[in-house]
Amino acid sequence: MEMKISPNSPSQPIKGDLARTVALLACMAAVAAAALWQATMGFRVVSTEEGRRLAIAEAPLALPPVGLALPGTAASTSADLATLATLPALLAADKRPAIVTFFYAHCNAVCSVQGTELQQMQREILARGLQHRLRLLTISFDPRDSLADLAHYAARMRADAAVWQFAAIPDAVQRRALLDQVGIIVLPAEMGEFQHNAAFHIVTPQGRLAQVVDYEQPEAALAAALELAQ
Amino acid sequence: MSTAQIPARGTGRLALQGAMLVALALLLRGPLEASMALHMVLQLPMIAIGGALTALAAACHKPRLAGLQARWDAHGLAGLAWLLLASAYWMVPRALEQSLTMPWAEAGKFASLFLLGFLLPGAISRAAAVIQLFFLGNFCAMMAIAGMLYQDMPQRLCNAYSLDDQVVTGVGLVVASIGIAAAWCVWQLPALAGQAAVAEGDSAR
Repeated sequence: MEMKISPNSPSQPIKGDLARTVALLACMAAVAAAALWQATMGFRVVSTEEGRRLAIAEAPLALPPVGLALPGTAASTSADLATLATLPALLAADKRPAIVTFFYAHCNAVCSVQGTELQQMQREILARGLQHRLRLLTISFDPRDSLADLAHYAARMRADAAVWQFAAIPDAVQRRALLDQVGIIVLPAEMGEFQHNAAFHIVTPQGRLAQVVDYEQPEAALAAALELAQ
Repeated sequence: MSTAQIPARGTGRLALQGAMLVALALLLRGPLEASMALHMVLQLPMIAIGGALTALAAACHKPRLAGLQARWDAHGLAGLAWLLLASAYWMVPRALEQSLTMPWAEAGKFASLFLLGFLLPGAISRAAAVIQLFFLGNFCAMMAIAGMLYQDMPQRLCNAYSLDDQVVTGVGLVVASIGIAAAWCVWQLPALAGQAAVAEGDSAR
């Protein structure tokens, strides 16, 4: 097999061995295929978020015990009246699976979309009489959110406390641990905003994260939580 | 590309520059990898170019190594195939993001791209123009398509990078693919035209 060397390339005195080259090519292709298999979880995902959702769907994740601060009712919003509970205890206190979302109260972008979705979801739950079978829990990842902010947000969303609860994680280390475990990456953006991966997290009363549903698919999130409620 | 083109004194400097580029890419990982655009359009090429400079120096100092490489890389097929494989891999968003959080992925990134740069000068020098055209054409097309996808995606591909950053990266990839294609044409086309003219003269005779 004679090939013309490209004009700008000086001819090499050493002849390449085609058999060796094919062997090396096969090795390279095998290495690349194995790496790609790993990175795409068996050619099933491309983005990190898809990977996170698939990994959780395949192996439900135990959530770490973190201390939560819950805003009281609208009448008692001061911090000292706040209830303190750990996440597993709060989940276990109730037989209902929870649809957990992460947000920050000052958000103008994706969380307000998610907030509206949740508001509609609450309406749907009440309309279909599902409030005894599942519930909503929204956790703030922004240390600037005071309990008063959460209570104010809840009031703005007309959250029914029996269906939809809000919580903050006062301890920074625990907050970090929970976000890391769940795979929420919060990027500081301009004007004190954040960019973060928003989704509905379906959590069992045993404190296991069973499934992650895209925030544009509230119906699917409801269905997934109802399935767990059986 | 060949040993004859570089004076022996210059090779030491080449190797040093190559090593410095790779060292910079490693030391400045924090700031470079904080932005998707800097990560993909600056750090990844830095590692590969570091590898290429090292290869040019090695071609002079260690001719036996270059000979070994030549024997395993007929017509530059292996080196150019690695160009497609390695570049395709690091354009997968999840692969890129793994290098942020997993040390072995980061090590693999440096190793695979340094190897790419190290193989490429020899591979190109052994490859006929048509082979170069095939592989570089594929590489540029792949990069341009990825760049356009990055710009069109309504959602983020990497959780660690913002949507704006993703769009800038997409523009960077498209510009780079056009730049590389244009550079190849400027480098190769006049000589090819000359070759064609000579061939015509031969057949006319």
